[in-house]
Amino acid sequence: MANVRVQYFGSIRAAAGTPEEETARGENATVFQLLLELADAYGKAFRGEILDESGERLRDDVTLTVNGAIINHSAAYEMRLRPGDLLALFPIFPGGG
Amino acid sequence: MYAYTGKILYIDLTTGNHKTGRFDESFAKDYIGGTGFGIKMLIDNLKPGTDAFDPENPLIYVSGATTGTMVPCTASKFGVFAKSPATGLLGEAYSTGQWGAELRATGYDILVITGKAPKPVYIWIDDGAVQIRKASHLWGKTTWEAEDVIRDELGDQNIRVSGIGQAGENLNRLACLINDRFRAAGRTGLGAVMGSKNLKAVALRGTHDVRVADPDGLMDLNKDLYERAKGPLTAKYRTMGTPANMLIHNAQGALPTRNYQSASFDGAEKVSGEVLNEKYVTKIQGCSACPCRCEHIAKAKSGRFEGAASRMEYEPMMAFGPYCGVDDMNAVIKAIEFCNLYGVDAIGAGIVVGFAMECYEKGLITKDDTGGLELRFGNGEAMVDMVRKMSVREDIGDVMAEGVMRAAEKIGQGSEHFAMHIKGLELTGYDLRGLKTCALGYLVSRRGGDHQRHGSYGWDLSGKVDRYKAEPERGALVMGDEDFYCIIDSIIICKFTRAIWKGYDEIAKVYSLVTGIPMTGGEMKRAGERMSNLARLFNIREGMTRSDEKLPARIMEDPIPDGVAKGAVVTPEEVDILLDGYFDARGWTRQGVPTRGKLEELGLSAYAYIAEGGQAT
Ligand code: SF4
Repeated sequence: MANVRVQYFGSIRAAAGTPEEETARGENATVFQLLLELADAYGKAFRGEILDESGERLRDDVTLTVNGAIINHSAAYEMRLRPGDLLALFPIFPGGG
Repeated sequence: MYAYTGKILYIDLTTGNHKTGRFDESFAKDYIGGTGFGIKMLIDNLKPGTDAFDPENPLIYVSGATTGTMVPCTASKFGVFAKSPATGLLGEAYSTGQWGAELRATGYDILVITGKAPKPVYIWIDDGAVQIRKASHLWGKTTWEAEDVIRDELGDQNIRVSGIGQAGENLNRLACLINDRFRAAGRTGLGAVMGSKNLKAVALRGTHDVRVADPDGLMDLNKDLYERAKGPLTAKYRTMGTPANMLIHNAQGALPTRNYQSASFDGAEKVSGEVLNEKYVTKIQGCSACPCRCEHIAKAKSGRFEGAASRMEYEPMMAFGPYCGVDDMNAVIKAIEFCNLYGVDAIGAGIVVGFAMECYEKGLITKDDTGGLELRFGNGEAMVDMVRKMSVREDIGDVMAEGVMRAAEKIGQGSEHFAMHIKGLELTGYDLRGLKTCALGYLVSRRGGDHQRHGSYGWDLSGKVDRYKAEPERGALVMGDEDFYCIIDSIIICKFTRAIWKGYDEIAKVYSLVTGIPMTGGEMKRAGERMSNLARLFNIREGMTRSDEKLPARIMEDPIPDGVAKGAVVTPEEVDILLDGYFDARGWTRQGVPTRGKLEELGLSAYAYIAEGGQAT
C-alpha cells in the first residue's frame, strides 16, 4: 500500500501535528490497521481522537473518507487502500444550544 | 423532591403583580426539566392562536434538573420558551454561562412572564424578592451597556442579566436574549417577545443552595464524569472547538456558501478554526462548573474592526463567513460582536444578510434600498453594517428584520426560491442536499430549520448510512435522536459533552441522585418521546400541518454545483419518503398527527382534542 495520502482535519490534525502526509505505512494492511499504525506513531492524543476507550474500535464521532466518499466504519476493518488513494479523517461535532 | 423547589414565579407586567405557583413531583417526573418544563408550561399557559407579540404570549424561563449543581457541563444551563415570532410555532432556545445557576439560587425553578409594561422596565429578582424597575434609561442601549448600568445601579458586579439589545426592542424577529456578554438564547426570536413586553432584561441574584438527594452517590458519579469531561471525548472542543467544522464541511461539500449557491468556499482557509486559533483567539474560558472550558474568545486584529471581540463557534462563523462569501476574519468577528451587542441570532442574521446579498446581486434590491451599501457577496464591511441596520430597522434592514421568509414574501420576484428557511426559521450550517438524514431532521424539527433538536447529521457523516440516499428507515433514526435530545435539553446537558454520557440509564441515575425521584432509563426515554409528542401537539394547535414541512426550493431544485457532493439535491419525492418514514416510526398518521392511542400510551390523553381537531374541554 505504498504512497497513500492521509489528510487530517480539526483536532485530529492538531494531534497529528500535520495537515497531510504521504505514507507507505501498513502495506497490505486494512484502513483500520493503517490507523492503528498512525496512532502508534502519533501517540496518545491522536489515539484518543480516533479510537474509543478500548483502543480497538473507531470512535463513533469520526468521519473517514476515501477519495472524498464517506465510508462506513465497518468497511474500514476490511477495505485495503490502493496507491494514490486519499484517506481523510475528520472529527464530528455535536453542536451547542 | 430534592433539587427542585417546585416554585414557579409568575410575573404580570401589565398589572405589575407577581405570584408564586408550584409544581409537584409527578410534574417533575413526567417532564424532567428544561425542554419538558418549557413545552408543558407553554402549551398550558398560551391561549391557542395568540399572536407572538400579544402581551399574553408568556415568556418562560426554565432551569434543567441539574442546573446549579456540581454535575459537570450541566450546571449553568437554562432554556427559554414562548410562541415564536419567527415561526408562529414553538419558540425555544437554550443558553449557558452563569445565569442559569443564578436562577436556581433565587429559589425559583421556572419563571413565567406575561403582560406588557406601560413603559420599559426590567425585572430584578433578589432571592425571593421581586421588583419591576424602570428601564427607560436602558432602552436603546446594547445588551452590554444595559448589563453594566443594571449592575452599577444595583451595586453588585456579580448580578446576572439576561436581556435584549436594540433588535429585541425593535421587534426584529431574529432578536435573541444575551447573558454573560457572549451567551445567547439565540434562535426563534425570543428577544422580540421580551421587547414586545417593554421588558429590557431579567436580573438575578441568589443565595439558595440547590440541595441534592444523595450527595455522596452524586459525588462518586461526578468524579467519573469530571474525568470523562476532561478526557479525549471532549478534547476536540478544548483545542479548536466547533470552528474546526469550517474546513471539515468545506472538504465534505457540506458548507453552505453564498446563500447556498455552493457547498464549498474558496476562502474557507482564511476564516477557518485553524487560522482563528493561531491568530485571533485571545482567551479560552468556560461555563459555571465545567471542566471542559471550550469558549474561544477572539479579537479582531486590524482594520476598521480592530478590537472587536466575540466568542467563536462554527455556526455564526459559517453564517458571516462562507454564507456571505466573506473571507475576512476581522469582519466575521465584528459581525458576531454586533449580534451580541444588538441582541440578534448570530446564525439567522448571517443567513438573512446572505439572502439580502443575493437579492442585491440579482438586482431585486438596489443601493436606494440598502442606504448606499454595495451589498455584494464578499463585502465584509457591508455585511457588518447590515447587522446594525437590521437591528435598528434602518433602510432595507427593516424588511430583513422580519427574517428571510417574510422578506422574500415582500420582495417577491422569485426571491422565495432562495429564501433558506424551514417554517420561518433560517437554516444552519449543514448543506442538506448531500446529508439526507439530516435533511429529515431539519424538516420535522419543532423549531424550524435547525440541527439542534436532533443532531441527525451524525448518521450521514459517520458513514453509518449513505448520506445521499433517502429511505423510510431514516425516520426511526431521527425520532431516536429527537427524543434523546429532549432529555439532554431537559437535564440540561451541554451538547458539547454529550459523548461522555452513557445513554438514558446513566442520565436517569443522575436525575435520581439529584432529585430523589426514582427514574429508570426506560422511563427517561419515554419522557423524551412524551416531550416530542407534546411539542408536535403545540405546533398543530398553532396551525402547523404536513404541508409546512417543506424544504426551500433551492434545496430541492438546484443541485450542488461543485465539490465532492456535486449533483446532490433532495427531491420532493424524497421528502415524502422521509416524512412518511418518520411519521410511521412515531406511530402518527401520515399527516403527522399523533394518534389517540399514542397519546394515551404517553399519558397525554388530555391533549387528544388537539389531534382530533377540537377544543379543550
Ligand atoms: S463544554 Fe463549553 S459550552 Fe459546554 S458547558 Fe463546558 S464550557 Fe460551556
